[in-house]
Amino acid sequence: MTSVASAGLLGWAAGPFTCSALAGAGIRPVFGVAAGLLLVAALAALVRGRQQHARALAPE
Amino acid sequence: MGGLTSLAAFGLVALLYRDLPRAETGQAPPAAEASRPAALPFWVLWGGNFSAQFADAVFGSLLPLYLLGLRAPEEVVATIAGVAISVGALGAAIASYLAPRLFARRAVAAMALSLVGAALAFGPLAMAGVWWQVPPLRATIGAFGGTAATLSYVLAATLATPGAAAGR
Repeated sequence: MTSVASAGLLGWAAGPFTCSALAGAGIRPVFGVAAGLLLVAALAALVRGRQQHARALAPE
Repeated sequence: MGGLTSLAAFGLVALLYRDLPRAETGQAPPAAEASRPAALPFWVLWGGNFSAQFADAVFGSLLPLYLLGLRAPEEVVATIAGVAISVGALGAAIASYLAPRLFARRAVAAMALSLVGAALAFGPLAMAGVWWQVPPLRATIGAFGGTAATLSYVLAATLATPGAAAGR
């Protein structure tokens, strides 16, 4: 739980830094980075969630 | 305007938040229900929370420049940027309050869908042609991101051992 909270703080700190680091390219590439991260995280949650669900329903 | 939005958020929290002891609620906390049967691995929760908070914080530094690029009036750019950031935080705060209550039984699916929703909202934001499109899109991303981050905490709490959850 504590480490998940730390991940949130790390993301919160990395967001503005990434935005500033890519400032020369404009803000739209940063939006792309953020959207890409979100999609990867969503895909991981969906895939692993389905796997865990199937495992829970499988006969012993 | 930003101060008013912060006051509104504070008022909502003060009015709606109730930290009832478990004995008074008479039921198991939503977190306990959320993990079964599908509990996500820790690294997935870590990534979900990281990406949600990253997306929430990414606006700060370049938002005024982006608004200027969208031809916002120069004299009110700071105000508009403040409003955009405040409504995003307000959206995240409201979502954080509602999400565990609404989606406790389907926390995994709700977290994944809210991450997708936040990602999709970046599309119209990147293609925005006028400045007034930014605050509502920022609020949308805040609401989706707040939902995902809060549900990652809910799911992470279910991974704790009973002793750790009880504070021992």
